[in-house]
Amino acid sequence: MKLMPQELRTLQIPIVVLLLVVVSMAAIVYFAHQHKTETESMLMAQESQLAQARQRYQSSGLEKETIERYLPVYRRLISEGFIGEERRIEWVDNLRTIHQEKKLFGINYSIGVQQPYKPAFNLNLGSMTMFHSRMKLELNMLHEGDLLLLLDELDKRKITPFLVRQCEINRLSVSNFDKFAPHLRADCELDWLTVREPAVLGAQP
Amino acid sequence: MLTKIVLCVTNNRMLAGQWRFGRLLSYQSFKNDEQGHAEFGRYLQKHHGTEVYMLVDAVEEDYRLESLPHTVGNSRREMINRKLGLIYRGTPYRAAHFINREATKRKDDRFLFVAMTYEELLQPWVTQLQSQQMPLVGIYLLSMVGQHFVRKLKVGDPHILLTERLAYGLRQTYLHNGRLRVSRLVPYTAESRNALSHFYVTETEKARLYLISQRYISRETPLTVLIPSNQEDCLTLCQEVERSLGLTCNTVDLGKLARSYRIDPVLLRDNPELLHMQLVVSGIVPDNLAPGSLGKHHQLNVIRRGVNAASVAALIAGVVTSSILFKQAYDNRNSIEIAAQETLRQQLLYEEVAKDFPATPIPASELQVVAEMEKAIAQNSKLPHRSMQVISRAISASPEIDINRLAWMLSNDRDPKDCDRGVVPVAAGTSRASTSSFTPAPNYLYEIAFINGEMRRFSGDYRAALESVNRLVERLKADETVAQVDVLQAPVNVSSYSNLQGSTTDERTTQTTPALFKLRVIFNREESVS
Repeated sequence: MKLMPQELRTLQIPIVVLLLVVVSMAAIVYFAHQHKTETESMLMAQESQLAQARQRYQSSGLEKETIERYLPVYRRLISEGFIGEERRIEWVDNLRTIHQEKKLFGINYSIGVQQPYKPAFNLNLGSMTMFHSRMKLELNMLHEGDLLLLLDELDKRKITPFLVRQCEINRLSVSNFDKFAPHLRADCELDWLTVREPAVLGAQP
Repeated sequence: MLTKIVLCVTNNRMLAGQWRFGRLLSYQSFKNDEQGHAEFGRYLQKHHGTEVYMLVDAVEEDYRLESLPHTVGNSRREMINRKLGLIYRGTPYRAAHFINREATKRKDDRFLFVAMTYEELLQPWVTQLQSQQMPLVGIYLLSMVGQHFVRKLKVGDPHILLTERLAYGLRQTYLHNGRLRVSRLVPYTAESRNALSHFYVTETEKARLYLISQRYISRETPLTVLIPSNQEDCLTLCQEVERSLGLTCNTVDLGKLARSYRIDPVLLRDNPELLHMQLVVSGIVPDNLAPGSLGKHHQLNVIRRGVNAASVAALIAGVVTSSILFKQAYDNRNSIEIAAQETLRQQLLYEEVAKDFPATPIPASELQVVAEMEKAIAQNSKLPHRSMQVISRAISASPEIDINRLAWMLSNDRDPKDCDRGVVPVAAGTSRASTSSFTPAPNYLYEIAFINGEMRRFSGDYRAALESVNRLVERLKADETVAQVDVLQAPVNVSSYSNLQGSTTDERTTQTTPALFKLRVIFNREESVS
């Protein structure tokens, strides 16, 4: 059946109406679907919050116990400089003090730029971020006990925790025997470790 | 769509009936003259846009049985159209009614070709329909509707001659096994109206002879004459036919059929075609004789209705779907509100309990993490005391050895390397002397020591130097804190995989090459004190 333009015109209004209906219904259905998806996401989020709130309330006894147990540890770690800003002045002061008190030969030190640190061993950082500053130490020694003494003293003073990465002791070539001249030279690398809470992150220059 | 107009055209008039919801509303008769045509035009104006079905009850009809090769689809359509064109060249009102497939031979398709050969009879009525742009659904032969009476009334005789007294004449339709084979209309004459029983008998005999001559039946074939009982004298007529011709004659109760279609049987006395028209309204629509061009307005109507139906369907589907989605969203909102209230309640309960908690700058879980972090660092923070003591004990038993360099490190490598670049390694023993068989536990830092030494006052006695280094290695290995000792460089390399050169006078020369060696000591895990 061939339709003339005049006859086709009679179909114009129904076709336009159909298109309008299809487009508007598609739009409404799309909007409704979006709205439903959005509310589903909101419901999931709210249910998750509810589950967390329930869990938090149910485990409030344990939480109190945890706070009472670990808050003193936390405060101590802040005072020791493990949490928060580095205390480089204290590290250097301690080196000077050890040098003077233990009558060691001079200790050369250099501390590198603080950088994020991922330990090689298992460590749960939670939401904290760990940093390390690498310190290089050079000291002349009468004997190897001087190095052990220095490391012991740094450890005992309970300043920021540190990891000894490596130490190297070399025999110095001495031309004439002098019992007060250094015979050995030690080169060590230490990692001074600090952690920061998430809220503090990014606040540093 | 809900209102239909059915027309029944005869040679002298046209009966037009209007149906709504399948029920006859009104009917009107138009004479087949100019005045009747004009009145029909006005009638159509009043019912503009209503679907029209046209039945034809005319003398000028033709029926022909034809067999065609079995085909389907377009091939079948084209073959039928070609055949119709050949047979009925002079009229556009023609159709092919499929009967069945032959059971034998080529299993051809059997068709009943029908046509209305008097085109001029329909012309004025069709012109009116066209001028009013009425949607003509189709043009049908009344005889093709009549066969459905028999099916409806479940008359099972194989050879039936349905004899209907219609407005214009007597229609005789031969049905074989309930299917139309041939039909004819005998107009009434003045004599026939006065001697009706004679007319019936005469025309029945003529019809029988025609069927025999056309070999539809034989002389012995039991032909059953069926006379619809829409007139009072039907029974008398039937008895007369039986008596005169010796044929079986039955009357069929059209009144019952009419009542089932909610038509007053009284109406059928003057307009028996109304029952045929009612059947068409009820959906019994036979093959259409009208050419496609006449049904254009109807086709447009169908398309428009289809489009409108699609609009309504889309509207309903959209409304239903969006309603369901909105309902689900509404339910979700309610659930969110309930969950939010419950969350708030839980938070209030928690805050009530948490009033007694010590003030903490970070969550309790983080406090625990920090504390455990410190513990883990302490466990992995080792000083070189233990390793230096072990090495010192081993060296003290070898006064012939001098230690030039001692490097200590923490590592988790399978094959830890020394950072000392000054020493050129000389493999000891085998080509793979420096390859480590050490397998470190994951996530634990092992203490590794590298010892660079030389033989004190070495005089060129490589055998003694080797034995001395080996003794040192054995003493180190004997310590329970040592996991593995590797000789990275021996005083002399006796491996078959390297060159060896020297002089037998080395012991007597004052300038001997130093006997350097290098060891790698890997220590076991230190058990935590806690």
